[in-house]
Amino acid sequence: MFLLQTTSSSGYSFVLLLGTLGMLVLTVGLIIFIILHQKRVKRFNEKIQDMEKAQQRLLLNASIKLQEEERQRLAADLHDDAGPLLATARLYLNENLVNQDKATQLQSIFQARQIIDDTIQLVRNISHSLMPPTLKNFGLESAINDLFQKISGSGTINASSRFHEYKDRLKEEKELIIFRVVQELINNILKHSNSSFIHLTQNVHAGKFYLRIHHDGRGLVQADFEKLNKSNVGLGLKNITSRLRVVDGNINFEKDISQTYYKVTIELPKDEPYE
Amino acid sequence: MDSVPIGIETILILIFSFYFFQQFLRSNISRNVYEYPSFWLLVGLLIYLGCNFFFNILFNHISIEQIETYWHYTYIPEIIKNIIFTMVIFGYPSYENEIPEKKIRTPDIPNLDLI
Repeated sequence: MFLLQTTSSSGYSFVLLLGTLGMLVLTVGLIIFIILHQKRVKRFNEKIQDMEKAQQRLLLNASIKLQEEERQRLAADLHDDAGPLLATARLYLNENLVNQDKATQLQSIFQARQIIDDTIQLVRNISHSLMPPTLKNFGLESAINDLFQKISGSGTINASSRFHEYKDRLKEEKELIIFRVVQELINNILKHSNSSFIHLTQNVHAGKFYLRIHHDGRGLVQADFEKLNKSNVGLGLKNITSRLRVVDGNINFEKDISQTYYKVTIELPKDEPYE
Repeated sequence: MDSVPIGIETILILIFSFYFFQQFLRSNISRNVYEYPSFWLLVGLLIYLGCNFFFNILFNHISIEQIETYWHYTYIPEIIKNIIFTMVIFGYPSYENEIPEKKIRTPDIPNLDLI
């Protein structure tokens, strides 16, 4: 108002011209700013999407690599252990056996039988390592309890598990995925954490299935996990991520509030009961 | 001419436009901002109101001769606004708002913790 009161008629023209020009520049500037800013945000989002794609490629590669390693291990087990055992049994049961005396024949048959028993045991072990029979027949709870009992039985670490609500089993495929993830986590804990105990708990809350593993050794927090997931190391962790992605699950690594132990929480949507 | 109400009205619309643009930029949209008709509607409105703002608020303070001189120039932003509005009405199909996804953190689950 002061400006208007002290400005003469020609001054008004100047204010009008300058003001209009200023407003025009401001409007155009604002439009250009919005368009440029949005382009910058879009480029940033595209960069994030590219990074996510690279991460997915990395996970896929890890999954393929792990599958290949598993196949190689299987091939090695069969070739190095079962192969020589069966070849030895064949040697005991050769054509000349009929020409030998009865005591030697009995001895050879006994030896061959021993070797075949060993081979059966070996094949059974390989088969169990591929698909634990407890998991297939009695479900995740029994399989995990069995696994923890075996670990605890070794006497080096105290392992325990408790399922709070698992009356309705998850689908077989989901159970297998969860079991593999737990196996991988336990394997990592045993290998790297140097902890004195591992404790697993399970519960269902708000339509979701939860598994939590506690240990008191060296562990990871979510930032470490994500960092390892994006790097070229940590094949097992990538495998966990890709497995959980299949069942729409999440995993969260954190340190307890008391800072005395680490906890890993697996979360996945609970589906229809197992039929 | 009612300069003061027009001035206040213009300022209110300008504030609303800035608020709209701010919200627009904050939302995580995947399409370009100029693909949205509402953006061009506001651009048209901003050009029209911005260019005529000083003419409107100074209307009672300038002479008739000056009004007659500048009056014709007010048609320029109005024509621009009308062209933009026409383009928006005839040129753009309807669009849907995209709502960004929200991630939910793991809640506290009973019986899962040791303590």
